[in-house]
Amino acid sequence: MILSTLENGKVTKTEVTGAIFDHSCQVLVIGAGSAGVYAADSAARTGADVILCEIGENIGGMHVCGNVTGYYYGMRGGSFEEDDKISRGDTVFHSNMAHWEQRQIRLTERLQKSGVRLLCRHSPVGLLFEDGRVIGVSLFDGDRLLNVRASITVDATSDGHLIRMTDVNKEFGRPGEGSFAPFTVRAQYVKNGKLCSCNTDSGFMDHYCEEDFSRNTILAHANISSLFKHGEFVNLALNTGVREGLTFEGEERLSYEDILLGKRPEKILFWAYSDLDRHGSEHATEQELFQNWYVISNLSTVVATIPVPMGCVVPKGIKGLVTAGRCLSCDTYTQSAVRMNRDMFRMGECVGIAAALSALKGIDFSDVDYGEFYAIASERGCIEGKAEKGFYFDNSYSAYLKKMQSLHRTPDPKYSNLSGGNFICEPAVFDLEKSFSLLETDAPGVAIWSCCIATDREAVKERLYEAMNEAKTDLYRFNCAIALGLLNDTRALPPLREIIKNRDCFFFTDNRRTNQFRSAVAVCLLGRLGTEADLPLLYEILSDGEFDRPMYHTLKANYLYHNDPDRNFVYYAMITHTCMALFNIYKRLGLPMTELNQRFRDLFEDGKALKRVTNAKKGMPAHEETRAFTEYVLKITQS
Amino acid sequence: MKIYDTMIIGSGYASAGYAAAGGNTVICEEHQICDNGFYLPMRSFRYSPYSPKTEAGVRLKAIFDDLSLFENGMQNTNGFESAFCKYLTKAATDVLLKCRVIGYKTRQDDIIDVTVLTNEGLSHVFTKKILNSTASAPQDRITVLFTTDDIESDKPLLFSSFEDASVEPAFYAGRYALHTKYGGIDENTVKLLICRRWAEIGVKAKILYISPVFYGDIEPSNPLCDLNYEDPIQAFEAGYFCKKEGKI
Repeated sequence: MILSTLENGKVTKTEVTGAIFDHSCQVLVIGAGSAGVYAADSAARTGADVILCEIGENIGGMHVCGNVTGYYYGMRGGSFEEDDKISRGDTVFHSNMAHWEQRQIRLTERLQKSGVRLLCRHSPVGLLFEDGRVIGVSLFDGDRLLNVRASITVDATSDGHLIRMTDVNKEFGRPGEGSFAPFTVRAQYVKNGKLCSCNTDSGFMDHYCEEDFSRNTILAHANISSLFKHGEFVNLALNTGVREGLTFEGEERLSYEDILLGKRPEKILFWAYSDLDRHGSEHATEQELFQNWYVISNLSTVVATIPVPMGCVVPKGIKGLVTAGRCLSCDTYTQSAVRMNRDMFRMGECVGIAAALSALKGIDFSDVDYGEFYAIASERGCIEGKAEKGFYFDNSYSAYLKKMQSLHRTPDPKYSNLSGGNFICEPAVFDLEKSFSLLETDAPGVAIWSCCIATDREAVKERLYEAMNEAKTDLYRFNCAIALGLLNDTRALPPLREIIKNRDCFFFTDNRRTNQFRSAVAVCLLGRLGTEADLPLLYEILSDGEFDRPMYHTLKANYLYHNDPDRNFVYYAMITHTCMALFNIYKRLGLPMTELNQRFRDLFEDGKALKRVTNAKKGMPAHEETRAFTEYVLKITQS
Repeated sequence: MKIYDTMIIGSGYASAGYAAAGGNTVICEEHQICDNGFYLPMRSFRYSPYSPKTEAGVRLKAIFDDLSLFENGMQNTNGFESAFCKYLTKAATDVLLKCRVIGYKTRQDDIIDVTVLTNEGLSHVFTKKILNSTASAPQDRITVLFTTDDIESDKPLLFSSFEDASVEPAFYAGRYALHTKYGGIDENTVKLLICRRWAEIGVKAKILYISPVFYGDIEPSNPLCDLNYEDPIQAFEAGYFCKKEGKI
């Protein structure tokens, strides 16, 4: 038998003889969070003998210990609905909101009823392998090490702590300027007799680095005192809410491209539902496909239904171990989307069913009969969910619902139950013929993206070029130019240059928030298409006098554009996109990077540019994000 | 390879005070919360005024005063974690959160190699001395924070329904804390039982929050244990003087 641990950052394997198992079961779930609790319960209800281990004293993960009581998207459908109904009814808690401890009580009742054995304060230390297969886990219970044997082990730790003890390929961190995971700390206070909840986006951290995790958590807790003036403070969440963690190489992999192109796998584990939000402002350094969707097509809050393949929870080459939760085989962009609470409940429930079938029949997870799994999951309502499939403008979380109701789109009641509630929700159909006329409006995103994914690109380019030349309004002309530029057609350059020269600060209105403005879009495209002749135009944006322009001093933070009051978001967007556009042009044309590096040093080293973006103190998200960006562009232009 | 003079297991004010008194100290805490003696268990809202005698104690109290956490004979225990973290950040105290000590062995040079489990996995912290600020006695008390417009009607019901119950005002008007005893079961089950009983007895009060951990009685033999102190500043300086006067 081999004990595999992660020690000093390396997977370490030790042969063990005479190991004693203190407990054994058919399905062992490590991590009693949003996915883990439902995985354990679901496996037990499918007939397996289940042990559920939790590192802390309290079960429930983010929706209990992280105090995330509300829902932000996620698909409806599954056992959690029953728990919701009870938790949101008349309880002994302040009932103007779904109380996190009421959820905890419901989960405790659920686990007791399904007969799951719960071991709290048990931390996973190592994986036990026999003949190349995971046969159990070594745990620390606060006093001693003990071993639990299982037919199948589920890593529901959300951060892949068991996965990290294996040799499977793993990744963590964002491409671009290398920032790590965005995190938040929730807090509660009473105002006017009502219990209120507050989300504080606290920056980024590498939570796999102990020093970074501890320092950032303590700093975030220190900063929570700014909420004391809002009301009568109650508590801050027991657990820090980290939004992303590692991804790994699985038997299948879900990519951002798969989602955007609507790819449908053969065996679907479950359907998720979310917008593709990265929780950051560093759009300039994101990968091209993300920029195409988020920046150039301005579709940041469009919500996608996402079929997650079964193989995404199975680490490649490892038997006896699967995941449940946000640690998946996927790219970092996808992980931002497949992590909503409701989706984690549903994923857990589905993994639990398949894990139980695997254990009961003595077969690998991957060999579970899909039809049998699907029948049970369908009967429990956790696989398909209550939703049509596709993309939606789902404004159920809009703070400006009334304003959005005045836009040209009309609500269709057929979709009102997608994630619950009465709100504007209509499908975003990426059909070029149906959407082309949107190019004449201030919400052209669907049309632009439809051009981007059209199969006959050459025909689309010609159509756009003709429309651009014949357009009677600048709105139409510029929208056509943006779509043409997205198709890498240099004939878009003259209007794009015009937008930038005019410092056009027109904001699109596709989304309920984080709408893009025209100059930022044009600069982003200029980076892909521009020539050496475009360099002076971009240099000018980085010059000292640029900040005097009225466009940087007119708009206040606004939910529709950017809701961070600590940041001059227009200036931030312009200089970050400009820096990256310059880098892309220099790289494409083989120009000397040392020259660009010096320009960036001139811009950033005296700290003026950072102060123009934000007055936030060191350690605060706006300051740290800006600082990280400046370090990034200096690093990539160093050689 | 960094070698600490002292590793303290368990984060709290006395641990931080010990660290403030000099030397190279690291505090190792299993939770993601730094104040485990006051904030997390919510064990007392009664303020016993304490005047700090040390510079570090004065700085700590200034943070609490700035946030108005001591008023009208009460302390706003729910605000303590944020205040404490402000202090820890300013003092640059080494605190490792979500950190569990798995075991340790003493090397030939008398340095202790402590194996810890954190988000990093297993790693090692090297120190000359280990101290423990965590409670060793049975932790069987829990706090229920609630609000009510009619405490005089609710009190008798609570006293008669919960073992070894005491009720105190919890800083804000209409807010109270029930301290009660539950032994031998886990926190999840205790919360379930509390809520069932609460619903049965028909109090008007509504629960705001139940402490996520148990707490216990004082431990006079362990001066670094925050449970021994009514006031966080007092706890801090107790730890400080433990170090300064070489008591432990």
